[in-house]
Amino acid sequence: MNWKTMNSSDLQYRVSSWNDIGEVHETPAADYLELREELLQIEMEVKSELQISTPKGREYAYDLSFGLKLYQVLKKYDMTEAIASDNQIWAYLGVAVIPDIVFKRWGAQAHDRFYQSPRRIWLKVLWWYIHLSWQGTEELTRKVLLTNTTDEVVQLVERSGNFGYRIKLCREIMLQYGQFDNETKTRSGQLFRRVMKLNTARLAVIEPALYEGEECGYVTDLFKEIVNSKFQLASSH
Amino acid sequence: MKAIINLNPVLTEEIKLKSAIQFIDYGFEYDEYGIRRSISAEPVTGFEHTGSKLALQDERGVWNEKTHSLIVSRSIILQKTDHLFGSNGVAGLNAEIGTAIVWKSKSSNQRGIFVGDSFDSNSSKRQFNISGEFLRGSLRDKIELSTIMYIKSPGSLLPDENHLANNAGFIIGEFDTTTIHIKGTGSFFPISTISEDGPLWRVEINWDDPTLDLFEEQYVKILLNERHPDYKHLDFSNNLTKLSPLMREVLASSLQIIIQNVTRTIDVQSILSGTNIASGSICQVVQYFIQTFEWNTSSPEELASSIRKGLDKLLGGGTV
Repeated sequence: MNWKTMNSSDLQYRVSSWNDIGEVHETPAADYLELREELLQIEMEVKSELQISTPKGREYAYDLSFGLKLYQVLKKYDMTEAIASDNQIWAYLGVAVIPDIVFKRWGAQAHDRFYQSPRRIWLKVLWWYIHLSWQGTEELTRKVLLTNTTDEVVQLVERSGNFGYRIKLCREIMLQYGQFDNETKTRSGQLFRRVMKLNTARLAVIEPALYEGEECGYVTDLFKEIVNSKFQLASSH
Repeated sequence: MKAIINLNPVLTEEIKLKSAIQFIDYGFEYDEYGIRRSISAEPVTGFEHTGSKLALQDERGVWNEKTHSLIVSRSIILQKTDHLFGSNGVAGLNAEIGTAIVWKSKSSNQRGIFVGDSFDSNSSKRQFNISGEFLRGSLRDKIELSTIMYIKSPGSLLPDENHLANNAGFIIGEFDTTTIHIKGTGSFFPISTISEDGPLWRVEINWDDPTLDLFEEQYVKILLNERHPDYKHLDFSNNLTKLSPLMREVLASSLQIIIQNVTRTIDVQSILSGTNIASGSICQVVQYFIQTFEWNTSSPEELASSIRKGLDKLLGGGTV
């Protein structure tokens, strides 16, 4: 795939004519037409599986299902971490190739989700959410992510740190978090958010890959500390 | 900026000196059909004195971060390891010290660690090796490498060692940081800028013998004129996949000029046979291009067309 980019003035020009009633206009280059068709197809499949006509009210379920399928489709087009780190490539996909799909999820005026805010470009966020959670197969990945919410997406993807993601660490966090039942997640009060915060603090002094038991041992201790402290707090009252 | 205060002792200049610690330069390689090939790392212009910024250059012109993995290695030599252990050192007598390379690539959205050899106070080994591999397609632009030593296993501390690090993973020393610029396939294109009253670009040829002279700025270069009003449309950057269409045309035309100049004095069959052609020479690069991208040298118009086809295949992408 010859991944295309688009400069910011061109992006602005294209989205400036869009309006809130869905008049967004796709302008994919010829070699993107096949990809566009595949993405339209998977979007229809997602809506059919979830039995919805719009993502409204089922945002996370829609993001997860579309994200998993998007990840698999882009894999066929040789999407790599290096390519996925280029914001301009995602901007082109969102603005020129499938603006109609992005529109359905965010509306025409959410320019940050199309191209404007590198950390919030929706397609990029979805790809990295799945990539950072990947457990080897789509089925296993879906299983660990199934009961999450859009808040976990934000917490995972937007906390990239100054120098990028530790991919093995992220996957271990998602694996272990996925094994908690909903009750524990709720009882520990924003468990994921608290773990990610503690993780950020710990990373200033600890390198998980060098920790005893490596990433697995590190993440186990991370969750243990948060869950235990919450339980202790609850039982002392 | 966060300030991290280490309460445990870390490697001091004095301990480093007593241990006679030496770092061998980073090595860079790739695998081509089961054969390990070296990639040279040359200091970036302006950083020759420190060597802290290096640019990768595969003289064979094969390595590309999109199609090949990158193997990084480094060795640390410690003539004496006993100063590191015990109450006056940085690790307990029963501890194990590990070596590693920490890598960070903001532009690739990732960071990680390559773990290397480890040693304890009884080790007779003096050279410790670290190596790791970046898979194809995982990197872009640049990576930062730092060599570290850490407590791999603290062991049981003796009574007079309670002040020493007792946690696995504690970093006892972070050494030099080196930034590696990844340019991939096009790293050997000798391109410079000038500022003059004149055309947008031109090719300067200074070789005496293209079978011997290297494909480097000294012998051949493409000069881009910053003063020309169209210079802004060249959009020249290290990322060759993002060259503007105009820059691609400059590159294509320049390559045609270079190839026609070479083949004026040396016939194509001699170039293709590779006989009497020095490694890294202008002729070798021309041979590589003609063979790899099937450039057709039978006529100027065929050559012009096949070069552009080859560049599309090589660089892909482009802006809209």
